[in-house]
Amino acid sequence: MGRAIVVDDHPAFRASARRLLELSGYEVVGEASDGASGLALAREHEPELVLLDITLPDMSGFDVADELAESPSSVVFVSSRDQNDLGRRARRSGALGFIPKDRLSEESLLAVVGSTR
Amino acid sequence: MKALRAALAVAAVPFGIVGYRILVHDLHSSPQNAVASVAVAWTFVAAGLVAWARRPQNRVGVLMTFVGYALLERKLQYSHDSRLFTAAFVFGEIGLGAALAHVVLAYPSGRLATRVERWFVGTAYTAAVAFPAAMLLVWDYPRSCAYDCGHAFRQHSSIPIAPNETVFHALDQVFKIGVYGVFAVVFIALIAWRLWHATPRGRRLLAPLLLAGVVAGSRAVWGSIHEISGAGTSDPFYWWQVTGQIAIPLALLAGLLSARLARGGVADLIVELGRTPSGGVRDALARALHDPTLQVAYWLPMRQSYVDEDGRAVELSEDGRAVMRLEDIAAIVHDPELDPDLVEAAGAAARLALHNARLQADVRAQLGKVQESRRRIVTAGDEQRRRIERDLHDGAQQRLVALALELRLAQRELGAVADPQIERILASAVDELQVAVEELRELARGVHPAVLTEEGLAGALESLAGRTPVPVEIVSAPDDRLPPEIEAAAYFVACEAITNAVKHSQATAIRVHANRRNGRFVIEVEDDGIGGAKENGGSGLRGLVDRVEAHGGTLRVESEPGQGTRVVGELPCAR
Repeated sequence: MGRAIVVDDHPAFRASARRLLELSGYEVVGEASDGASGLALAREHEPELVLLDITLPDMSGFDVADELAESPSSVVFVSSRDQNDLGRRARRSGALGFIPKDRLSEESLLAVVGSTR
Repeated sequence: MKALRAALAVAAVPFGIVGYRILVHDLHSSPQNAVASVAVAWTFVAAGLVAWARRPQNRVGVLMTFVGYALLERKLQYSHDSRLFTAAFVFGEIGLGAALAHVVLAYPSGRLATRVERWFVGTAYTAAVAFPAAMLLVWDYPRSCAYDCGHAFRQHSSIPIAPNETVFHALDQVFKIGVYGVFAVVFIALIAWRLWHATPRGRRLLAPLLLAGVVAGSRAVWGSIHEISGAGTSDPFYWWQVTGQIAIPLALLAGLLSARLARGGVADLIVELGRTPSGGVRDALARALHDPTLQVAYWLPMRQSYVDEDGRAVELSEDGRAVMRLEDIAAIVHDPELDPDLVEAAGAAARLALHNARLQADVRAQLGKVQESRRRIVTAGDEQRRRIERDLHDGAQQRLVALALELRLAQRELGAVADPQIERILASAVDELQVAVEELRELARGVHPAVLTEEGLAGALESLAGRTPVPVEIVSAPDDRLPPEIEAAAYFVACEAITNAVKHSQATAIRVHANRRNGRFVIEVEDDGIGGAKENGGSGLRGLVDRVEAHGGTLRVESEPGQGTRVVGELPCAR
């Protein structure tokens, strides 16, 4: 399906997400634990998919998504909070969609990515 | 002192008569000029003695009397008797040359306020004695002429050591230009400086006296200009000078009379304080002393600091204000031009009232501290809640969602080969985890919603409306951020009111208004339910009342049975 990167500050979640993406047919070309590294990785590889946590240690996932607005990468937000807790910015962002981390699965990922293709 | 003043008053009469005779017979002055000259001196003596009697602690009276006598003594230097002339000539210029400037600059306190004034007056006294003494040493009789030079008679010094006409005239010119010219200009400049820096009350008090001083001093400036230019006499200014000199003691008397009237105000103060609440003591003192800028600071021994009537800490101002301290009770910060004795009298009259007001200020200060402490506790509680929410999000919540994802991956990898029993167990575990994560989210949200921290009240209210089972309309919400404690208080008011509407009021619609009104932030939640709610009906609302009041706000519940419920929280919010 293409290349992907995972941006999240929790190593356990990154490892699980990598496996899930690979099972879903993505080639995971990199992982980042903060916003700045994620941006650098996305600019370097220009992946088709960026799985991006909203709460990062250095900056908000929304800010990272804004920076990537002009890039060819599609952004899917993930968070341990649900969408209702994220307020207006989640609704206004140009991301493909949002998946609560506890609901992340091949099906939910396909639903979000597939829904806009 | 009374006898001394009486003796001085009596002695001034023959002294003046002698002066008049010398002016008319020896100086050949016109009678009207001689009368005016003696009248100036007598006016000073009379006004000085009155001032001395009324205000024995104040030097102005003594100085005025001294000026009067110095002016009387000045007449003796016109005597044709060489010993009398010599003695009077040495000290003759003290009155007009130094003492007059001294009393004007020292009014009303009796003391010279600045180092420049002290330097000026000291130099004036020295010059007023040194120059005439030096002139007498080089007196070149019969050609030397100090006064009445057109007349045939020439006075002569009793102490000529090295008569020299050139030196004499040089000294004479320097003296006239220096003492009556430069010193007069400096004197007028000092007066102008004082007026410029005086308080409005000070200007009102000083203006008549200082105007008279300027009028009297201006003839000296005019005289020195004539001396430099060599032009004729400066006599046209004689009556101008006399008017100014008489006006000086009269202006001083007017000042004394106004002080006496103010003392009448202190008597009224005692009566007024009897029916004044302790909060009005400052106003009563300000009225009695005619000083609207007056302030009262109350001393709190336990805190070792001053507070105002409302118990707020204050610093005693040092910027040109005068401070009168009433030991262990209060300090009165007042216009420095006010008579210190008068302020002390007013303070003594108001002592009991000030003591009561101090006790009230003390109570208010303690209440203020309690209120401040209450606000800090709530703010610290909010901060703690934010931290707990973050910890839940970063800790337990992350681990649970990671575990849920792991289990899903396990489900995916086992796929069709999995034992149905294991598949059921895995599915059950995933479902249980899902529930646990949801409950944890709900708990974190209740502790402190992240959206409130990140997006403020408007975002948090939208989020709250989105998860409420009854339709909630956000009618108004602030576009910008408010102080965190105000956002938190307003949010929890809305949250509790909406929860109660859903749980107890059978509401079908809820409306929320959140906006600023006249320096306050108002959060209002109304529903169309059954009403009948009470402000103290549950611990939730009681806790909210505490939270809102801790920030200086109010919370009220309007809930007539059958007419819905309206919960209104108002919080102070300047920006």
